[in-house]
Amino acid sequence: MTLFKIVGFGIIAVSLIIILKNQRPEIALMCIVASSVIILLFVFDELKNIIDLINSLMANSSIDSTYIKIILKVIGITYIIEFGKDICKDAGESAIANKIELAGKVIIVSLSIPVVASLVDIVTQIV
Amino acid sequence: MDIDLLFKIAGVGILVAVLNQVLSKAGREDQAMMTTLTGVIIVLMMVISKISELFNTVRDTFNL
Repeated sequence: MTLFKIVGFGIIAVSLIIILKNQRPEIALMCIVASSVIILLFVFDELKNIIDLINSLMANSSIDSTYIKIILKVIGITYIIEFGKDICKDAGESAIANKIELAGKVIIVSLSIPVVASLVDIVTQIV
Repeated sequence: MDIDLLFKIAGVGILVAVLNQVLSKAGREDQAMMTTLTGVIIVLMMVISKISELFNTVRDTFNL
């Protein structure tokens, strides 16, 4: 059911944006930002239960929860980076979009350093 | 799925576009510029509150 809501909303948003595109491109960009924010908010409502399920599954299993936290953080970061990058690309500023993407990669690498460190420890213990 | 925000933004955009045409035809270019600025500012206020709501939601779900 939510599928039809999202697709219908997207089509209505695109048609409104096209009306505004040539007279007022800046307000059309704001329309793009608003519609993508609304769709993302709608998706995150659905995503919350999935993440609660994952947390509960991981809670009673023996896997160390720090890795799951890092994975969830990376997923969250990619959502926001993707959101910002696509809006900059829509506005025609691909240079800024690439800088945002680069910043996202740097943040993700800096987040995953403890995981790599623990991997190296495990490997050195085995060898 | 609050679509009324989208209609509000599109309405302000269309209103500003029409006002601009009228003002520029009447020869008042500066006032046309003013209406454009106010329109963009109003729309920006609406969108920024939505963006902050999105960022807070993401911060809570992914505990960033």
